[in-house]
Parts: sequence; structure tokens; C-alpha cells
Amino acid sequence: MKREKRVTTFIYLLILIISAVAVVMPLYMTILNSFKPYPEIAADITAFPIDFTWNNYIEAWTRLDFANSFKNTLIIAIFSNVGSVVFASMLGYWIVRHPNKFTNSVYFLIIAGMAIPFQGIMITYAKMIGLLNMGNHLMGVIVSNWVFSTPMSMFLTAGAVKSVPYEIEESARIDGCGPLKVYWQIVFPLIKGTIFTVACLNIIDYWNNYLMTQFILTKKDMRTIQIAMQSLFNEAFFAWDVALGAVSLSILPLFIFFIIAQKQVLDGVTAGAVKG
Amino acid sequence: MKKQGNVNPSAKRNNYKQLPYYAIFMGPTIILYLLLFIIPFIGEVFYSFTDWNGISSSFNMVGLKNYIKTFGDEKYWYSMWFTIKFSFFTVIFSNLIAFVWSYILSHDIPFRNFWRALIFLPRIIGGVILGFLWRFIFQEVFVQFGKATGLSWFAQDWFSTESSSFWALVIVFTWTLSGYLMLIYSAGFASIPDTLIEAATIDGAKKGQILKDVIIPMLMPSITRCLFIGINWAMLLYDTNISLTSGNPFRLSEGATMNIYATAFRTNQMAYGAAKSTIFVLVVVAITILQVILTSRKEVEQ
Repeated sequence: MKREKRVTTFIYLLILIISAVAVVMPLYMTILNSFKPYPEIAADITAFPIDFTWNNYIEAWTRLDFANSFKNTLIIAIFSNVGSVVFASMLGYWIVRHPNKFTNSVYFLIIAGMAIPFQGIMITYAKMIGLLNMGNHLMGVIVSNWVFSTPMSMFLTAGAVKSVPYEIEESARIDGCGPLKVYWQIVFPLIKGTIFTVACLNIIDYWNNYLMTQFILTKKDMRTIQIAMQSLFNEAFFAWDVALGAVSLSILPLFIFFIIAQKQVLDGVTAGAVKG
Repeated sequence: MKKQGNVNPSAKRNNYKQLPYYAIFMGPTIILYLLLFIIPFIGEVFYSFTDWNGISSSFNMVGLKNYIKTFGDEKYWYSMWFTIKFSFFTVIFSNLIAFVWSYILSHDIPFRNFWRALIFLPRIIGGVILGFLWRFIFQEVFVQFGKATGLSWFAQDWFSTESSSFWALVIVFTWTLSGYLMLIYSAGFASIPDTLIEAATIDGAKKGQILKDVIIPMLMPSITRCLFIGINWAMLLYDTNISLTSGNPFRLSEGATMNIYATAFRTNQMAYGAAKSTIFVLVVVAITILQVILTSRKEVEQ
């Protein structure tokens, strides 16, 4: 019996190792070859760099205007979360605590919105951005992210608030606290775990957004990393060695983020999975 | 939400006093949601019945003209069928792989958390970068690998035929989606009580029997959810499409979104594009509703 168990564990580990190779191989190949000049890549793609060079990274850094596009992407990723952490959570809380015709219809309308993909609104949305004068403002992307992550954030907050007993709020209210104080000082600390894990997961999507962002940020100095990458690959002068430097450079920030916030990100997926 | 005790009892009595708080708590999100979601959505449907070109301020109502034109647009239906086929294979493959992974990781495996994090890793790469990274893998790594080993499938000229572009997209999406779905299946596995599996083992059930008769029925909610996520994700294919294949060869690997985008923004036929996108939304919603009905019926049967 014990022997049999050891054999199964061995087979499982073997499958996992093969899977891990398939998962990591593309990343490994990209990073390995990003340190080579192109002739070396063409000669032997699996070999370690003979003529080890940082040139691809240096070239990619200037071509992507990386300092600037990184800054833009970071501002968007951070401030986009304000929407789900502050506004959508307040909305979810208020709807749970004040059930009536109005709040219920708002709740229903927003949840129903989940069914409609961005593709279904993008043509008039692009026009709307112009009308609201949000073109080439980071705020335009940030506010849009607030809107498009509202359904999920509101839904999860509402679920979390339902598990907070109302009596806890009541005693605070008797002490004369207003609704804002009650929410931020009493309810929010109790549900912030759920909200922050989801926020960590959101950062990945905000960071990688392309389709929506390209409607808003068109000027060169407003580019995010994704937009800068798209134009780098469309340039007439294209070489794989610099491109690999650019890809590696673009992946790096999220990679570091994932290593630090690994637990929150993985829990965020699970939280969404159980509640949704 | 209707449960008493959960509700603010003063909510119903003096609503007017609470109005400012309704504005503070609900106002910002409602206004933004209206401006950037509801109005654009209504606008999209409305414009699909006009001849608006996106620039001029005047337009005429043209009834169903754009829809009739869409139904005759072979390129559009080709891209729609391409998207559906692509989603089908991607969803099947990624769900199978994710299921196997989560099944293995539901056992007592050394370094479990390490494996989970590693397998999830591809999910953090997205947007156009995902496509560019894999373009290198297909065009350079696979080709060299194929030449060295003599495996002609790897050495083929990627993105020069319809089927090579198609399978390249399926491979990339399966790569990025499987780890994510694995976590959702794992949450499902964690919710199966150990006692249930123990009881089945004591009754003499074999591993395969337990999988078929205990685990899969218990996992139906996760399966419903993973299929839903997979379909929704794959049907909306765009970023990877433009960065990996850019429609090559000859717009034969173009997904529906690429087709809509080209109509609306490259040729400035906004109203025509709006009709195409409205039909696209209906197709996506219909497919997801069908899937949810089919799989959740199984949930009830258990």
C-alpha cells in the first residue's frame, strides 16, 4: 500500500515537472536570448550567451521610453484600484444595508452589465471619451477601469458585508457615528481582506490592458508599456534581439510584483471563484 | 439581501434624510457607470440603425440596413466562426489541463504551493506582450528546434497558413489560461469534504470510480464557472490576435473583434461596425447562456 502510494506520487511529480517545463520554457527562452546579439540567436537558440550583452536592454529602454511608459502604467495600475476599493465597495455596502426598489435595480443593472463585453460598447465608448475630454489623460484610463471593474468589486463587497452582523454597526450608530464613519471605521476593516486580494488580482489586468487604453492614450509621452510595445513591434526597423530585451523588460515589473504579492494574487482568484 | 437583522431599520422610515448619503455612497459609481457603460451601450445599439460615420454630426435612420449588410458579409462570419472554433478548442484544452493539475495538486505533493505559483505564472503576462513573446517562440525557437530534431511540425512556416495561425493562437491561450483555471478547480477540490472520499474508499471504490462518481459531480459548480470564464475570455480574443498573427495570412486568422475594429476604425464605417458588434454581443451572450444552462443542469442532478 505504501509502495503503491510512493509510485503515484512519483508519477504526479513527473507530470508536474513536464508541465513546469512547458510553462517556463517560453519565458526561459525569451530571457536567455535577450542577452545575445542576433547572430548568436540565429546560430543556436538554446546555447548560453557567448558574447553576453546588456545592449538589447539599453536599446529597448530608449525605444520604449521605458522610464516614462513604466511611470504611466504604474499610476494607472495603482489609482485604478481606488475605484474598486473605495467607490465600488461603498456602493456594495450601501446596497446591502438599504434594500429597496432603487438599490435593488442598481444592483441588478450593474450585475447584468457583466454580460456585455467591452467589444459591445467600444465604438460609442471611443466617441464618449472624446466628448468627456478624457483623451490623452491618464485619468481617462483610470476612471474607465473603475467602471469596468465595478460589477465584480461590488459583488464581492456585497457578499462580504452580508457576513458582517448589523449589531456591530448599531452600537456605533448609537454613539453618534455617521454612515461614512461607520463604514470606514467599523465595516471596512472587517472586509478589507477580500477587497485587497481582489485588488491585487486587478493590478495584473490593469497592467496588461491594451484594447481600451489605445482609445485614450495616443500621444507618445502618454504611452503605457503595452502601447509602447505595440508601436515598437510595428516599427520598420525590427530586430529580434532588441525586441526580446523589450519583452523581458516589460514582463519584469509584474514578475517582481507577483513574487511579492503571490499569496494575495492566488487568494484573489480563489475568492472570486468561490463567491462568483 | 432581504433578510431582517441584516438591514438598517431606519432605512425605510426617513429616506429623505438619507438622501445625501445615497449620493455619497452610490453617486460616483452610478454616474460613471452611466456615462462610460450604459450610454455607450445604448448608443452602440442606436447607431447600428443609422448611417453615422463617426465624424459628421448628422446621420439618418436606416432601419435594418446595416444588419442586412452584416448578414451578407462573408469576412465577418468567417471571423465569427474562427472565434467560435478557437474558443471551443481553447476551452476544452485549458479545462482538461487545469483539471489534471488541480487533481494532482489536491493530493499531498511536496512543494505544493511552489507548483501552484509556477503553473499560475503565465497568467501575469497579457495584452500584446503575450503575443509578441510567443511570436518569437514560434518563428525562431520552434523552427530551430524542428530543424535540429527533424520534426517538421515545429519547423513549419508559422502564420503563413490558416491552420498554423489558428493552432498557434490556441496554444498561446491554453498556455495562459490553464494555470488560472487550475486555481479555480483547486478551490472546488478544497470544498469536497475528505470524509466523502474516505467513505467511498472504505466502501471499496477504485480511484477511477471515486473520480467519476464523487469528485466530478461535486465539482460541477467549478466546471460551470471555468467553462464560463474560458468562453468569455477566448471569445473576446483581440490583443493576442493582433500581436501574434495580426490576421496573417490574408486576414484568415482574424477574430471577430479584429473584424469589428477594422470596420469601425480603419474604414470609418461606425454604424456598420456598431451593427457587427451588437450581433457579436448577442452571439457571446447566447453561447454563455447555453453553456450555463447545460452545465448547471448537471449540478442539479447530482
